[in-house]
Amino acid sequence: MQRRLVMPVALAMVAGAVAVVLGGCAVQASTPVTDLEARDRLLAVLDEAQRVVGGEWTIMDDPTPRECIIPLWISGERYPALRVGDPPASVAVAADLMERAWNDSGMRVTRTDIGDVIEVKGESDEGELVILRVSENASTLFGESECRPR
Amino acid sequence: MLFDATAVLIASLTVATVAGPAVAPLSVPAPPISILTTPAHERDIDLPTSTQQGSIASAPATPLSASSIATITGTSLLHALTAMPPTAVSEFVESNPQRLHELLAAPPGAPQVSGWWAGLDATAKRSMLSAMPELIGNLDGVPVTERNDANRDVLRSTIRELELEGTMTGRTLATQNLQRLQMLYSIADALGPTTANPPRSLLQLDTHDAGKVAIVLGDLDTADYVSYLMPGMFITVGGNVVEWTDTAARLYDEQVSWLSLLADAGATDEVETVATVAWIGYQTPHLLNVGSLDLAYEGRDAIASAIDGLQTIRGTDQPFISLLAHSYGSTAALLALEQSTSIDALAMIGSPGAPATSVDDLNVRGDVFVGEAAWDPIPNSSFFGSDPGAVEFGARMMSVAGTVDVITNRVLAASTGHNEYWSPGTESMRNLALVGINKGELVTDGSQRDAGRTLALLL
Repeated sequence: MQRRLVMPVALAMVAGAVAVVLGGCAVQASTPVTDLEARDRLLAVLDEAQRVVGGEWTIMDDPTPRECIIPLWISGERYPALRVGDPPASVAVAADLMERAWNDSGMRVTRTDIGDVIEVKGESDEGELVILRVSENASTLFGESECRPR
Repeated sequence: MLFDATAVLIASLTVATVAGPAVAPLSVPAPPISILTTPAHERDIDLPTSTQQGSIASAPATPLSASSIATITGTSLLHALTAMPPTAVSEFVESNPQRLHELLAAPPGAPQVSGWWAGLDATAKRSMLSAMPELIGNLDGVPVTERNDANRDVLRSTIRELELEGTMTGRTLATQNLQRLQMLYSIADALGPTTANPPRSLLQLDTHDAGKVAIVLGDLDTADYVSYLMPGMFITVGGNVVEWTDTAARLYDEQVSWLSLLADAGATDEVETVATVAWIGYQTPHLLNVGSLDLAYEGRDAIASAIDGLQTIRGTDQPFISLLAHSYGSTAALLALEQSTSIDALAMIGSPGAPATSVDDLNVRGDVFVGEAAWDPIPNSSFFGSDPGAVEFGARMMSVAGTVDVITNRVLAASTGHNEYWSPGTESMRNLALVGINKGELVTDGSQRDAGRTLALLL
C-alpha cells in the first residue's frame, strides 16, 4: 500500500513546487519592440550575414515561435531561423568576415573549430543568438530572436 | 519506504525552490485563452480548408442496409460503410456515433486499413472523408495527408459548433463545453500558421473527454528519422499540447542542426531529414490513478498502433524510428516493445520501470538508453517492476547532468528533478536528439569516455 502511494505523493509535490517557483513573477519585456519587430530584427541580422558570406541561400525560417525562459523563470517565446547556403569560396575568409562584422555590431562573438567546420556564434545584448557554420561542403545560418514574454 | 521517498523529495524541492530550475519545466500550464470574448474568426486561427467539401460519391456495388451492419466490426465494417450510398453513410454515422467510437477503440490493423483505403477510388475516398472525417483522421494506415485534412476539418467544425452553441443560446457555454473549446483552441495554437516550417500535420485528433492528439513536424512520408515523444503523468491535451508540440519543434531543430553539421563536416553524403511527433495518444494518469498499469496498457496499444501505421505507410522505405519516453510514458513504451512492436532506438527518462526485466525482452533493433536526473525520485523506484537504470537491465546510461559539448563547445545545462529532461539547452535534450538520428556513439554517459565522443567517430 505504501509503495502505491510513493509515486503519486512524489509527483504531486514536484508539481506543487513548480507552481510555487513560477508564481508571482512579473512579466517584463526585454526591449521596447513588438514580437514581430524582434523577429524582423533577427532576420535582418541573418540577411546581412548572407550578404557577407555570399552565395545562394535557401531560407527555411519557421514563423512558429519556440518556448524560452526569461530570467526569473518567466515563460517566453522566441522565433527561430534557418538558412542553408553554398560553401563559401574560402571557409577561413568567410568566418573572418563574419566574426569581424558581428564584433563591429556589438555582439559577443565566439569562434570554434568543429573538425573541418568553423562555427562563429554571435550573441547580442538583447538576447539574439546567431550561428554561422561554414565548411567546404556547405554554409548554415541559425538564429533565435530575443526571448520575449508570452 | 514512503518516509524515505518523501524526505528525499522535500530536500529536492527545497533545492529547486531556492535555486530555481535551469529552465522552465514542462508542467507549467499555458496561459488560459479567453474563449467567449474572442471567437475563432477574431483569433486568427489558421486552419486550411481541405478539398473534401461537397464531394458526392457513387455507391459501390452490393450496398448493405444500416440494420444489416449492426453486428459487423473491424475491416468488414469499413467495407460495408464503403458499399453504402453516401447519404446512408452520413445517416448511419449520425444515428450510430458509438459504432465509430467502438471501431476507433478497437481498430483494424494498419495493413488492413491501408489495403482497404488503397482499394477505394478517389470519389469513394472523398465520400468517406466527407461523411466520417473523425474516423478516417484517426485510422492508422490511412495516408498522412488525408488524415491531416480530415482532422483539421473536424477541429474547425467542432470549434464552430461550440462557438455557435454559445451564440445561439445567448448563454455562456456549459463548463464542460468551455473546457472542450479551450482544448481545441490549444490544438489550433499548437498547429501554428499554415506557413510553419517544417509543416505541421494533425495526425490524430479526439475532441472528446480529455482528448487525444498527435502533431507531426516534418514529412512523415519521407523523413529518414522519426522520433515519437511519449508523455507521462499530468500531460494533457488541453493543458500541454502547445508546449508538447514546442518540445517536438525544439527536438526537430536540434536534430536538423546535428544533421546539417554532420553534412557540413562531410560525415554524411547529403543532409538527411527528420520528423518529430508530439504524441499525446493516450490518457495519461493523474494522482489518483498513477499507481495502476491500466492507462499504460492503453498507451501501449495506442503507440503500437501508431508505429504500425507509420511502418505500413512507409512500405519498403522504412525510416529510423525512435521512441523518446518520459516517466509513465516509458512504462507504456516498454509494455509495447515487449510485444510485437519493433523500433530502432528507445530512450527512457525519469522511468518508473515496467514488468520487462532486460533490454533482451524488448523489440529494439538498436540501443536502449536511460536518463536519470539528480533529485528525480521516480528513477530507481522500480515502481512497476524493473529498474531500467539498473546494470542488469542492460540499457546504456544517458547523461543528463550537464557538461560542455566536446564537439560544439556549447555549455549544456543539467536537468534536475522530474520535469527538466525536455528543457532546451540541456545535455538531456542534446542526447535525446542524437538518439533519434541514430548517432548513439555521440551520446554522453558522464564517463571519461565522453572526451572521445567527437566527430572523428563518424568520419
